Order: sequence, then structure tokens, then C-alpha cells
Amino acid sequence: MVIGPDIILDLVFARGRGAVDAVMLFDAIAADAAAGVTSRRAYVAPATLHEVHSIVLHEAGVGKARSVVWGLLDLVHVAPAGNSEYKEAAMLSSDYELAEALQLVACRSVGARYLVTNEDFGAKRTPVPRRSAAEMLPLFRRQALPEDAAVQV
Amino acid sequence: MPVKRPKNLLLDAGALRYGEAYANYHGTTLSQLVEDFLTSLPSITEPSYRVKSVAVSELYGAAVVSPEDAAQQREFLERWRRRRGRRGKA
Repeated sequence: MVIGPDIILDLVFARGRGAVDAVMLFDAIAADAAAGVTSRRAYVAPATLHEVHSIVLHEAGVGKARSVVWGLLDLVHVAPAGNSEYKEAAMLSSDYELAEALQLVACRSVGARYLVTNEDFGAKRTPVPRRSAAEMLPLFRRQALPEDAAVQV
Repeated sequence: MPVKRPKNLLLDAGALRYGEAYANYHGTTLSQLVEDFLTSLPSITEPSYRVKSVAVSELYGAAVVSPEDAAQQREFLERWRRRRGRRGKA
């Protein structure tokens, strides 16, 4: 899965009802990481880190922005993005903003089945299916490994 | 602007009549009433969930600051960017 910036912002700003869903998703990701489960790694697009850093910097200062990015990098992987990925994103930029397009391209580059976001991007369908954080949780339950039992609710 | 999608709903006739009358009285639409109700639903997951991972607990609410601190931070950033802009031009 590739996680969109809005989910991360729900988590770090503890905002709204999405915050609990985001916490549960990241808890499940953390449990996977601790158990060495690599089959459902969580990724972010490179632009997502910039966006999150910029917003947290703007609202809460450089120290918090730094620790948020640092903490995120313990849980998620940054999807590789070279020239071809940026070109692919640029091709999508007539329908999406570049940062959004990079999230969709990141899904393809890491083979992710879902983009985890609450954003609709102003489109009925996107090249990769979107799911909310809450919708992703059953995926962790279905493929329950012994280590995953700790995150069941 | 969020995308609106059509959806067929099977509703009790009485509830539907009342819904339409209520929407009409309040100058809104049945669709808006349904949308307002759906968006006000609580989280699917349990609201009293306790964070399990230390890494996640450190991230949860990590960027929450008071409105005063946020305003101060924005002011500081603005000054810092102006200073940096002046240095760049020199």
C-alpha cells in the first residue's frame, strides 16, 4: 500500500475521526515491521514527506517537523522515484496535481494494490483503487500472523 | 469539490415522505440530509482505541500545538523566509 499525506496528517495532528483509523493502521504497520512481515509494506511517495514536513513546519515548527519525518521513516518506506516515475507523473498531471500523480505512480512502482487516502482527487476512478485507513484494517486481520494478533481490535 | 455519485436507496415510503417534507421545510434536499447523516457517523473503528506501538504513539498528535503557538510559528517562519530572501539577493 501507498499512504497518502492526508492519512499521515490525520495521525500527527490527531484530527477528526480519521485520527483513530490512522493510529490503528500505523499500529498494524508497526506490528508488521516488528515481526519482519514484508508482504504488505507501507510506502509513501517522496512528495508526501515534503508535504507533511512543510505543513508540520508551518504549524508546529522545525523540531516537530523533523521528528515527524524521522518517526515516519521508522514505519514506512519511500517509494523510489527517478526520472521515469516523474515523467509518468507528469503525463498524469492533466488530471491530477503532480504530488497526487506521484502517489499513483508510487503505487505502480512498488506494486501496491491500494492508495490509502480519503482524498477523492476530484475523480470517480483513479488508476489505483483508493481505500480509507479503516478500509485497510481488515487486510491486516485476514492475513493474521501470530504477531498480528496484538493489533486485533 | 467532492465528486457526487448517484445511488439508489430502498427506503420506507413513510420515512421517505417525511424526509422530503423535512428537507423542503428546511430548504435543503433529501440527498443533502442523507449526506449530512452519513458524514456525521462515528469512526468505523473503536473510538477508545489505545495506541500499542511506541513509534506510533510518538507520532500521534505530534504536531498538535495551541493556536497561539501556531500563529507564533507562522510569524517566525515568515520573518525567517524574508531574511533568507534578503541574503539570497545580496
